Amino acid sequence: MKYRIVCGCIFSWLLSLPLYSQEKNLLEELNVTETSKSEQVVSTFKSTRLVLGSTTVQLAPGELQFRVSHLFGPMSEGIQELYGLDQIFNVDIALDYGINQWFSVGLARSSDYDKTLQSNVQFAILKQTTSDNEFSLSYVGGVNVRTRKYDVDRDFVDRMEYEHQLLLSRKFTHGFSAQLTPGWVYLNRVPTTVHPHSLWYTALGVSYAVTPSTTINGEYTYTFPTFDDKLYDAGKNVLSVGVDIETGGHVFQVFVSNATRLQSSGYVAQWNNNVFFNGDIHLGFSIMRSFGL
Amino acid sequence: MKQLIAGVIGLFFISTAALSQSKYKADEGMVSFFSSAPLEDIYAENKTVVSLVDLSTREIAFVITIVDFQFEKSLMQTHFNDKYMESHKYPKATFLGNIISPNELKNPGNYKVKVKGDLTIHGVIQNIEVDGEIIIGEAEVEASSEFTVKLEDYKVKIPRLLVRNIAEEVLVKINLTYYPVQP
Repeated sequence: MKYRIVCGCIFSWLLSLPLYSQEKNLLEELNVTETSKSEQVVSTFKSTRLVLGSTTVQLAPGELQFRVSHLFGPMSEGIQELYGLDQIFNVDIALDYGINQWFSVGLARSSDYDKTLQSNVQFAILKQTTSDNEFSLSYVGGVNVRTRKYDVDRDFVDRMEYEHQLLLSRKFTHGFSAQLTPGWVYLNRVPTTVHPHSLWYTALGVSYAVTPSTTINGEYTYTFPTFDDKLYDAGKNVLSVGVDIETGGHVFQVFVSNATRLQSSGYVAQWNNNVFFNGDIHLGFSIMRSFGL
Repeated sequence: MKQLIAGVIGLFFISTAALSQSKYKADEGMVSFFSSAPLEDIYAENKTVVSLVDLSTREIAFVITIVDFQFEKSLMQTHFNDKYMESHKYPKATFLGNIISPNELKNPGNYKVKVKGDLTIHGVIQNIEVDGEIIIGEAEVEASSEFTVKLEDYKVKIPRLLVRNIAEEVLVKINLTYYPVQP
């Protein structure tokens, strides 16, 4: 009789065992579900600019970013012109504002020959995560107005330029990210009848973190030869190499480039550029500072 | 035979009693921190904290995902993750501890509690004791606490250039709303 009771006890104890074995400590229990969750991938690039082009980095909601970029004269002019520093080819002043985590708007004005004023929007479509999304995807669209004075009267539409870009980026390792940027620029007015109104291009950008606060960036913008081959010059596609240095509140970028304009609608139009491998390169820098509004 | 059945049923009841509803889970808890330094105030919040509390064993645990802290400026988030928290190496901050007072935590009501346990931030474990409040309601349990975290204790290094921008101690606030876990 006693033997049966003991048996029963053991049997029922065994029955309830599986229930007890689940009782790990609460943290272990949480970790089981938490470690499998997909997390967002942050800081693919240091800022909203790689060198000259935009990145998939999105401003925080309510963040106002002030950026000023300078592009100096040709370094090939030597010490006499302090390697181009005596001349300022282009100054681009920009304000960008993050409306929410997915959408930002901006204004930029370049001191180039056309005195281009650019308005733009940036939408994040996809953001890279640790397991669900392999890459980030954003759209950047811009409408530009050339605000310079013309010798003859021009219709307002003649001053317009339009831009569309898709930004596809991926952070491959903790230090290395890359971005592919196919885009299209439409210029309502071009210098001559052989110059195309419509320009297709793809930019490839890479970024490598040397230290937690310094990255080396490279960017090559390939303009597709969709126009007169006498005008097309592959050597004038823009190649830029830069270094990002971030300090507490800003990002400071120094770069060399064969572009002579700082806005993409300007440098995608190859005829504005110099040839990198002829040594016609320019030193430039950008400073970005953010304010919380 | 009857005794056998009685024994089985009896023991079964005893063993299941321990599993009755005392465990609660929070899925979208909020944690924020505030750093006040001469040059700059920094505030960030994270609304994806998950936590479990067991009112009978008095055990409490939470997990915070570092990259989910939202800042006023995108660059701050980059700094926070890349330089200070090294979230690629230490993606989570965790806590596991026990409610050490009061002794009774069953009936609905407000309780001032003391919690003691291990807080892990940036891969460094520190035993801490904090005060908090637990409100036991009809269906849910709310918990909140405020405490300071000294960055040095967790080997979070601030460059000398930024000592005037980032405080040595930050104020952490945590708010969790728990719902019963169905066993």
